[in-house]
Amino acid sequence: MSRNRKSSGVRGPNSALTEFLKNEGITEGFRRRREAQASESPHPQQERSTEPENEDISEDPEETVSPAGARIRRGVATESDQEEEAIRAAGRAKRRDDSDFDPEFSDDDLDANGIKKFGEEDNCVTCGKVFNLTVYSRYLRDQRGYVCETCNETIKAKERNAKRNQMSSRKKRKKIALALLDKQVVRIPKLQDICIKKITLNIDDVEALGDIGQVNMNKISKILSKNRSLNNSTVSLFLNPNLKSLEFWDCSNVDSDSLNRIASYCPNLESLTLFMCGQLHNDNLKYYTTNLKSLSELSLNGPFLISDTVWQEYFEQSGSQLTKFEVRNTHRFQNDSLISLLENSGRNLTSLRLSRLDGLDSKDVYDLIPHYLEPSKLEQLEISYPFQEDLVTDDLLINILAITGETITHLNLDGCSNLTDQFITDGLAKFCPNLTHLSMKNLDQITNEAFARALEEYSAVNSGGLISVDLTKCTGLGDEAIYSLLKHSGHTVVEFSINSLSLLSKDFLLQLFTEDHHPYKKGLKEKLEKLESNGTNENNEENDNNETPSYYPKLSFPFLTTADFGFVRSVDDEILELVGESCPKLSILEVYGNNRCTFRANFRKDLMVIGRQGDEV
Amino acid sequence: MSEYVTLVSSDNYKFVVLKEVALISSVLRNTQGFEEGKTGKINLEMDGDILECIVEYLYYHYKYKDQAELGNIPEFNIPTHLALELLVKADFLDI
Repeated sequence: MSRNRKSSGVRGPNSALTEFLKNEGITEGFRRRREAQASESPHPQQERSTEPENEDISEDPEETVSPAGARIRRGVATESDQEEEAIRAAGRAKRRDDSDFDPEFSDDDLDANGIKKFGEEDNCVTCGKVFNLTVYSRYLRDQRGYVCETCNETIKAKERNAKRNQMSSRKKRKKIALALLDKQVVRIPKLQDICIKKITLNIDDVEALGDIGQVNMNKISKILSKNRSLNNSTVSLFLNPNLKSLEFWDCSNVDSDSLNRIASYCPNLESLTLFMCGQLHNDNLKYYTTNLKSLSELSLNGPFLISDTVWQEYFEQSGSQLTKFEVRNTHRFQNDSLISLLENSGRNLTSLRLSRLDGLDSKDVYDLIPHYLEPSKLEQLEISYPFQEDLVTDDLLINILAITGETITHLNLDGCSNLTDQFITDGLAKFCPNLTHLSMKNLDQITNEAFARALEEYSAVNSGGLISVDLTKCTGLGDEAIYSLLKHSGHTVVEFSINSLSLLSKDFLLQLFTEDHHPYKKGLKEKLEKLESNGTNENNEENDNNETPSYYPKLSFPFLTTADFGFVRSVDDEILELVGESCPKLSILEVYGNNRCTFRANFRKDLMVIGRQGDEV
Repeated sequence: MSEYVTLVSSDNYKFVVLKEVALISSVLRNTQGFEEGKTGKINLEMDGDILECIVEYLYYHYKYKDQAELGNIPEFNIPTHLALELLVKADFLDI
């Protein structure tokens, strides 16, 4: 390998002259070596004159050919070691001076006095054999000498091997990291999954799926949605007259006619879920109205072709049998549609989910919601990401919860950022005895103190406990709020997100996951008790000076399975380890943006920690 | 107890398989408490070519189960025309 070519494959344009000079072996390095030779020539002469009895370097052919390092290895070393050392030191110093040069061309080959010209014979530094030095001979920096062609071949082979190993291990790491992002571990695939993969690859050739079981059917449908290969022909594979429920998660390639086929092939459908159904047309919904007589659960995401009037017609005709209704991402679901929905099916609804409906822009219409829900059967309520934040107010939610609170189990208020402490204190904490799932992303106006106090009282109302809590970006919440929440629900919580609650302190998290009999906590408790007794007797000057630490007894989380601690900067390796120890069921923990979580953290093998900087993709 | 079991297909192909390998399938494991446990013979409602694929997979699973974490295990290939039927049987055998 030519030395001046190995750095990278990128080179600028070359003139004919440059090409010629290179072919002749006259390169930048060559020129510089010549110059250096000229400037260095007085130096060795000087040395020779100071120690004349030393072996004559320039005359002995054996010695001149070999650089200093090689000479020692060959055992010719005499008392001249010291002098050699001096020469080498000088060489090193010189190299340092030249450090602004391209290292590719550094004057390594000058550190011995004898400089071989290309074309002469030299001894290989690895095998010691004599060989013809050419422009392409390879220089080994660490051994200070050229190697012969055969040795070079073996070195090259070694390098290739090393590179291949490196590539394969990189690939492996990438695979693991990718799986991590999908919240999976790399393991042997099930035969079913292999088959499903094969089938989805060849889905266009499949005529019928046959009796593969509903679970596998759903699996295939989901994979096809994920691959975006659910289309007119593949959709029909899933339709059969006995189906009671059907879910298609990506209908963007399914046209209007095929959507009609759903109703004609599966007249007994009771539950229908169509996501990304941008091609769902007015006529389709009308057709569903007449053909799907027993449809009681409808979820649509992105049905933006369905107009306000058709929504109203639909609710007037089949609204009375609707029990679950979900609509997302359409601006055509407008105020009158919602009124019509509430009028026709309000009292039957067990689930109502309204998300990102930009056509709903009247606060008065939102305020109607509670009036139609009486007497309430509502179990699941979602009102998320309204068009403007002031559409959903504290009063509205308090009114709704006052009516539906008894029955409600799922509450999702993501992005209703107008809600304040009042909603928590007078609504949630008072009226929701059966609530199990709570999601309130982005409610940044809720304060730490109010939330903490409300949750203290909430224990009297809701004696069970929450199963799933999502407090992502409720940035006002801090230690006290989270502690009172977990005190209430720690023993039941399964999914838990405190993403972006940057107020949480490390001290709090430490205490939360540390046993009460740990010396650190004992000490803290005693200290606090002392402070308290002092505080009552004397003035509180001391307390004001250094902030009083708080004491939090340890809580246990027997069922916690997935948790998101992302962007809580106080979470570090130490906390990770404690979390792993004290949450026996925890299997997925997200720590994106916590740069103190490193690959050094120790935790259970079956706990998956996602989002550390060390995980490379 | 014999360390092998015989899997018999509906068209009477017989596959003699290490017991440890066959028992990867929880369904085959559960048969061991019954008559099949004594005779060491399990009759399966599937064709020979399907059963052959399944036996291959069981051995594949057996061979690589400890190396899965390391990542570089070869892919298991199945013939395309058998994929659907194989899926049904794999679902049945829970593998």
